[in-house]
Amino acid sequence: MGLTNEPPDLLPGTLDLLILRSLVRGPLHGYAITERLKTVSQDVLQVGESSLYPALQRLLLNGWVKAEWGASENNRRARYYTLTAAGRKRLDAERDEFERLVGAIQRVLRLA
Amino acid sequence: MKLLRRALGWIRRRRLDADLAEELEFHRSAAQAALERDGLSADDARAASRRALGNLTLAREDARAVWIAPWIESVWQDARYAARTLRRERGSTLVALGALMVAIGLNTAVFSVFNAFVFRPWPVRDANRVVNVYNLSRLDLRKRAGGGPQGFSLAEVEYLGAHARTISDFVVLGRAGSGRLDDRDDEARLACVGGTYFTALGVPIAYGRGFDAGDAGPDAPPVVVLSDPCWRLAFGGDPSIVGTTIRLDGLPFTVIGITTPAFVGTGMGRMDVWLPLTAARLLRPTDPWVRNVLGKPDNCCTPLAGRLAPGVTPEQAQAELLVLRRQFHPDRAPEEAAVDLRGTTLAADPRANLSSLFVPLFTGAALVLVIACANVAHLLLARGLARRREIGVRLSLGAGRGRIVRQLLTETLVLVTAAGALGVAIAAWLPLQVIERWAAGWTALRVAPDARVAAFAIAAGACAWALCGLVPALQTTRSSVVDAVRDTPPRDGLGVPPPRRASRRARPDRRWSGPRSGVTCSASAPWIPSRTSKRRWC
Repeated sequence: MGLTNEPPDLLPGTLDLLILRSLVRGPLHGYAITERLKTVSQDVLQVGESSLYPALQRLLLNGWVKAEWGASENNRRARYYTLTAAGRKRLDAERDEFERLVGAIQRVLRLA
Repeated sequence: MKLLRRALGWIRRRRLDADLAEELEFHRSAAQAALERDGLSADDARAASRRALGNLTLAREDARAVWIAPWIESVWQDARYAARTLRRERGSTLVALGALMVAIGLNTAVFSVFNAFVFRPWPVRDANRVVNVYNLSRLDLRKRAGGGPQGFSLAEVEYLGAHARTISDFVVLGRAGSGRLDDRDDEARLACVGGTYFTALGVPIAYGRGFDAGDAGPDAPPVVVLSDPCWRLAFGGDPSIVGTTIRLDGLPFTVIGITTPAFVGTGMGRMDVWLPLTAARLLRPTDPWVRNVLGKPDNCCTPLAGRLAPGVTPEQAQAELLVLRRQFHPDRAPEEAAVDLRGTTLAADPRANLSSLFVPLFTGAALVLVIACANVAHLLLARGLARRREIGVRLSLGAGRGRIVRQLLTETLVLVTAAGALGVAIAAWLPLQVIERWAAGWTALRVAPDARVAAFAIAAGACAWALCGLVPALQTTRSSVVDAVRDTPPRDGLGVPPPRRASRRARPDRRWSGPRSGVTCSASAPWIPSRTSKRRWC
């Protein structure tokens, strides 16, 4: 399951991982997720809606997050995403896998 | 779980769409608000947020495609459009539907008879554990005295029954005949069978009981079991007949049981009355089979069946019976003691000659299907030509040829599916009517649609689909865009007017004057190369 156009140079599956991680602290709506990712990554990760929303739908379909309509900060209807138990488990598994992969890449960059 | 969620997504797809649209709009307005905080005016911020977000529809469709694969949606679209098209062209649809319905129905009906005839085991308890036991010895076949083919002598049956461990019970199938029941004019069909017939086979009994070994003894009072149809016909379906005495060819017999309607014998023919073998000696003392086989236990032969002991395979049973037969015939060469075990379906019967009956039947039915498909293909071709403008416009708007072929094939599929459903209904009804009317008296055939018949109907439908759908779909999409649009007459507002100087015979307008003339004119056109537009309509 690759990403669509942006950001093009992330490893496959990474966006799902990042979204799941950003939801650990509590429910967020789509825009807040992009903001969170942007600030925490110090403007490196700018996720476009054309990859964010398909990714969110994918997570919904897999049952890793659930969505509910609620009121936003400025009192508009917004769709909030919450991490489910299955999503939490998935996040742990994905994170281990990601760290293993990144470690491997770093080793190659240093030593090969 | 995931599949369930996907299905739910499909059911709620409108809701899904609305949610996505609202969600993306919220995203945009949030982006706009952020830009306004950075000092842009409301209008500039709105424009900038739109630019930043790019194509919202595309984003929505990408997100939606996660739930509903786009191809499913387009197939659904095609099917709906096909249904509309078929409804609009009611006349030709009805003709095509009728032809395909009759063809598929006929094929399925023939197959369902074949299925009932060939693949159905005896209607007894746990029928797949019952085997026919065949004697393959030439010596016995030569010696047989007008008895059932390829059976065993009664003495050998007794020996096998006493020693075999792989067969829990042997059943002597004996011999069929006919006799007069009370004072009725028509002859009843009688089956003289061994004492284990009802107990070992587990024949379903509606009233009373089947006879057992005790009723088959030499001194036992004569008893009979009646079949359900015979009981209804001769005794009006009165259960109190059980225990009373009836007469067969003038001799008294006590009725002890009546079978259920499902059981009218183990052969192809329908049986009315079952008697123990001993009764045959009372009824037909001079019959050669009775004298030679029942009277002399060493003489061959009577047909034999058996029920496999629990957990035993037919191969194991066959191996054991082979050993026992060699012991019983110590004087014979080994191949003269050969034995064969087969299931109770006709397909398993080595003596059945099925091809002589069913090859002509299936050939005829298949021919009907091919002819029907050829006609429907012609109809669709004509219709496709009449729709060349529609197809040409779609091609020129950028539809791929594959997409349009798929659309046309979907139309044919909808047609074939509808015809197939009606055809299966015919196939479920027709054989029953035919048997009821002409064969109720003598056949034991039970025709009922099952999974095998359904699979055959689907296969027949698929054949019909390919036969009548492919050629028209490929043929009508072959014309180039330019041709199709140029041919369009001026009143459609899409094409270039045809040259005024066209001869009177070549009137392009003719073709568009109405569906019927269009069909007749273009029915033979597709194979003519379409280079010179002037000559084409001659």
